Amino acid sequence: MLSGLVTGLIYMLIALGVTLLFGIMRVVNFIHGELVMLSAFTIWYVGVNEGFSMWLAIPVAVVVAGGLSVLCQKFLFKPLQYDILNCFIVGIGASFAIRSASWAIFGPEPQAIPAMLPGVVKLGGVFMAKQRLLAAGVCIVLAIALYLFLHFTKPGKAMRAVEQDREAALLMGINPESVYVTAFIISAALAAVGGAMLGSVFGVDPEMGSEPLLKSFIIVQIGGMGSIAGTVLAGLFIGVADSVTGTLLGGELAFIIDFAILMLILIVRPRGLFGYDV
Amino acid sequence: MKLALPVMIALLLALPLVMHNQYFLHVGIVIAINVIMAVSMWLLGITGLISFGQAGFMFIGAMTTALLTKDLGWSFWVALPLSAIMAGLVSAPVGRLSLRVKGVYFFLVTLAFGQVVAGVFAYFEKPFGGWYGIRDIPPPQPAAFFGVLDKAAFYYLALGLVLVTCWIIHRISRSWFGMVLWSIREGDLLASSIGIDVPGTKLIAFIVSAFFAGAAGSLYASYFGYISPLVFTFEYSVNVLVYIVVGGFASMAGPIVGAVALTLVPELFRVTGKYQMMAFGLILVGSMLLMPQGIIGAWQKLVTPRGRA
Repeated sequence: MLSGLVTGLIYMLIALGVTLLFGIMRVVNFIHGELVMLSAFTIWYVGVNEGFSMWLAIPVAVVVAGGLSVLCQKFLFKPLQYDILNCFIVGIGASFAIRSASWAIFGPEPQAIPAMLPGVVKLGGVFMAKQRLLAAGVCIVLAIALYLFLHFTKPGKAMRAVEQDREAALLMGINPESVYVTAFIISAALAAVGGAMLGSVFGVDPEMGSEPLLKSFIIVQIGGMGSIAGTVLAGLFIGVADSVTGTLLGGELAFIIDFAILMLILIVRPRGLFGYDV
Repeated sequence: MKLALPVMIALLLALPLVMHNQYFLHVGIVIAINVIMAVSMWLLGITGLISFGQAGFMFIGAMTTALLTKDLGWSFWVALPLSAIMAGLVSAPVGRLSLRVKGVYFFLVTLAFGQVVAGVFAYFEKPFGGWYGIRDIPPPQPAAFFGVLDKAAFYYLALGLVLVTCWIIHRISRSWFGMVLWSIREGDLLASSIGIDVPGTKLIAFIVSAFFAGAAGSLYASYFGYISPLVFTFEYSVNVLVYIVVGGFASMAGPIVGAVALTLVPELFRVTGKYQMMAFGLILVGSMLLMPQGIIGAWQKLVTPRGRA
């Protein structure tokens, strides 16, 4: 139950990056999962293989993911004028290419990232790895930070302005293109931290990005695309639902249950809990 | 130009008489399966919707054939239509729900559906075989024609199925119903404003497309004799999409050309294993950016004199 909540929080963090890009420019970023995977590998490479400190490895991963994300924006999404369908398809292509390239480079062996906070604590009779608590804390802090950024800082307000009306924002002197770049960097940074947390809890391998991506698609759709609050709620909900079905019926059925929940939401409320129509 | 089609069909029919190489016939059969998948996805694609669960419907068809012919001992000729119908039946409620959402939302729901199909078949070892899948699916009867040694009979079966599928889908896309599909592509609201039942039309296209995917799955199961959740993956659905995108969306020639070219080229260069997905990903990105109208579009641009198009 508690560890399901932690997994749900990590998925929520990854889903926040997806929903941010969707809200602002209507791009469903299929590369997001590969950003998660690549930053986990970067952390493994810098922190384990080269033996540097973890606190150095994570910023390096953020830079790598951010750089790749901006490259994709400049050379893939911008030439397609952020068209929703074309960007989706091109994202799948790029994601496949990146994933199989990392199969070739890193090999199928799963790698481990050591815990930044080793040891366990006892929480009301349940033993809990400190690393998982750290992951949960980081996710919560970042979600709150994202909310504060979007509502109380100038670049954040510019982002929401572009989200509401691109032309009107342009008239107010906001450059949408630079807002897009910022959004891609923030989204990639969230993916990188998500990758760090996921990698330190579950291990690192070239396929590790695909399940969080699928989960975050489901989370984002249940919560409503583009809605931060919806993503947070749906992420927690899916995390708990997964761990309950995992305990009762076995982990493989969890995904099917998620899908059933998604279908149910679509029947009752096609745009998700807090979303708006495309 | 009018002679081109009969000549091509005659050439395809004569192929096993000239080519005694079993390997070429094998490639031909694989192409046939991929072409059926590509045109079936294209039919729904006319409306601007892409079903990323197409491999799931193929899996349902393949599983139906496997269970009917292996466990119950039914004939393949009964199992083939039943598999297609089974996929169509499952697609009706799935389509009814998933078509409530539009565009990317629809992509994501169908994507999740494909994963669920694979997940369900992988979860239940009885009767679906779990992750190991089902092996030794009997070939069509009479065994003397469809035995393992000579692939010619199977080649004709696959060719026949492809021709029938393409003919039916071509007729549909050129019929009144097809025109309605093209009009939906221009905009749901616009189409419904002239009295078109948009959800109903989409649903019918979705079911027809699942129907043919089921038939392709049945063909796959009986030809390879082995199916597993690792075959009918999301990646396969994306491959089929790549066929359409590379070939071109504008006419049915697009998916056919794309499926033929992209099955042949990797076979020629023997691009296998881990590099195959990389090649597909790069081809997808490249053709989206450089050739947005696909091979057919690029060809038409080439042959049309400047200033006339």
